Amino acid sequence: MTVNEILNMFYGIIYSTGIFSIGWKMAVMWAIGSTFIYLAIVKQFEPLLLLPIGFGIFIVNFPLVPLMGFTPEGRPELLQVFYRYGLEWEIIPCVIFLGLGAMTDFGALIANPKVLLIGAGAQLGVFVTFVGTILAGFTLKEAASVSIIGGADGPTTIYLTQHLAPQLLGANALAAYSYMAMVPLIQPPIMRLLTTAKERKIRMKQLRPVSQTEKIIYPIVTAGIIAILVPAVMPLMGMFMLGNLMKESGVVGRLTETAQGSLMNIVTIFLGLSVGATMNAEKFLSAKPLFIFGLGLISFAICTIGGIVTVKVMNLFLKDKINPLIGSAGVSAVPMAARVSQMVGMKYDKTNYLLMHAIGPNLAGVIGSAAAAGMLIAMFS
Amino acid sequence: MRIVVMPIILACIVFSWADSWGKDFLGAPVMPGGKTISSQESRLEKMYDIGYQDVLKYYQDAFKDQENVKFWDRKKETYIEDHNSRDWHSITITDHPEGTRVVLIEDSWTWIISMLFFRFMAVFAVLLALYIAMSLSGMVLSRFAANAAEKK
Repeated sequence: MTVNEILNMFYGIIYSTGIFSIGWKMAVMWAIGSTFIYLAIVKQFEPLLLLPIGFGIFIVNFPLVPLMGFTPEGRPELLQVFYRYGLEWEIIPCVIFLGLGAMTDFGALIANPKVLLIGAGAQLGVFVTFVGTILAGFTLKEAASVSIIGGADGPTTIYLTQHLAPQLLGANALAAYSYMAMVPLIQPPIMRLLTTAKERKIRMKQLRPVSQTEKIIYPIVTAGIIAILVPAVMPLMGMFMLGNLMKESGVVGRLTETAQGSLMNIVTIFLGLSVGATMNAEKFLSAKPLFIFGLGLISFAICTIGGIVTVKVMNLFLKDKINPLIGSAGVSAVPMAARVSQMVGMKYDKTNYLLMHAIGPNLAGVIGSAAAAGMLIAMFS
Repeated sequence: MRIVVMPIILACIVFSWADSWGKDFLGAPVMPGGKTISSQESRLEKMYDIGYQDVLKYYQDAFKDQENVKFWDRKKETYIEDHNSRDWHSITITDHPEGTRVVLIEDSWTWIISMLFFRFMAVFAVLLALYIAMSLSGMVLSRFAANAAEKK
């Protein structure tokens, strides 16, 4: 064997590694991925999602890794398979909604259905930010997908973005889940700014008990109404209501357990990894993600304002006043936003328990953001 | 030689101007020919004495490769809407008794704002419908429950 042959073998080995293809953009993406892993592990910010997302970002941004591309024979590689069949086919967000439905108790909303309007008011940011997003140079479809971030509903954001602007999926999903994790930081200052000390101490009437029959009828009626009025989001809402019907009916315990447990956990892993994997350095490192994070924050703040203002307007007409602190829970982010209402309320009156009252608008926010998404999808279909 | 060349050059200038004027309104294609009914800065209306399907075909071909242009098929009318950030907003092709009418409209904030406002209101309408349905079903079920309790 000649020296040249040995050198050629050596070069062959070296070039089959990724060492010579590493670029600075990849290093930046490693830092971004590591930051999300850090936030998930150390700060416990939405760890179930930010951890796989962060790791997804980290591993796809290495040269030559066969994860998000296609083999020479045209077969999709591992994360490409997750992405294609999970997100592109819009299966994962819908299955997550099935699990969420199986975990949700709509009792608080059924007992006080007028708080549904708070869920609608809290979509204000979605529509206001739309204008700002267009001014920032996004197309109408991109604007719709960015502005829905304010609804603070991860699966809905993913569903809408995949429909209208799949190129923004990674950044939008990341912004949505980041802001959901930061609800306790973003909302309280807005809540204090928009309410008086007297309003924060408003005590709400205890909620009436809700019968099991009402709980069983609720998902069926809601599914019917949504199917008629906003058919575009039926894949999401249909699964949500199916999960809830399974839970409330009490006759399919095994299915309910699977939907809210194992199935939910499995799709969460695939969701996180696939979203992270879409964040390739070449696509992600541009001004757009920065705009998305900025506009998403504005949208989220305006949605919070929208919820609080809706309560204030409702109070002008209601005999039994609503504490405006529960208005902020009109953004989706269940149950974090409701907990924030309780936390801020307790600061001003230690015996005023707002949590159960805030759960109502919180659930209304899930339906409201899905309805808003449906309106935006319908605009383009 | 000059006598031959000059008219050709002039004709080229005139036709190229006429051509470009006829093909474009705020960046939107305008089918050549037809009679201009009204022409303003923000609106152009033309009438063609050819079939509705022929005019529609012209616009379908013109936007063949464009992703963000939406065609809405209405009864005897096609509404073409631009979802990019271009200067024109819509083209409406109508099957008119006198021919085929084409109206091109400039993009405006009025459209975007009103469209967003109505959709926001529609979200309220959806949740209001749910509210009414839930209130009614709650009322009926509570009454049933009360009656059942009374009988006991």
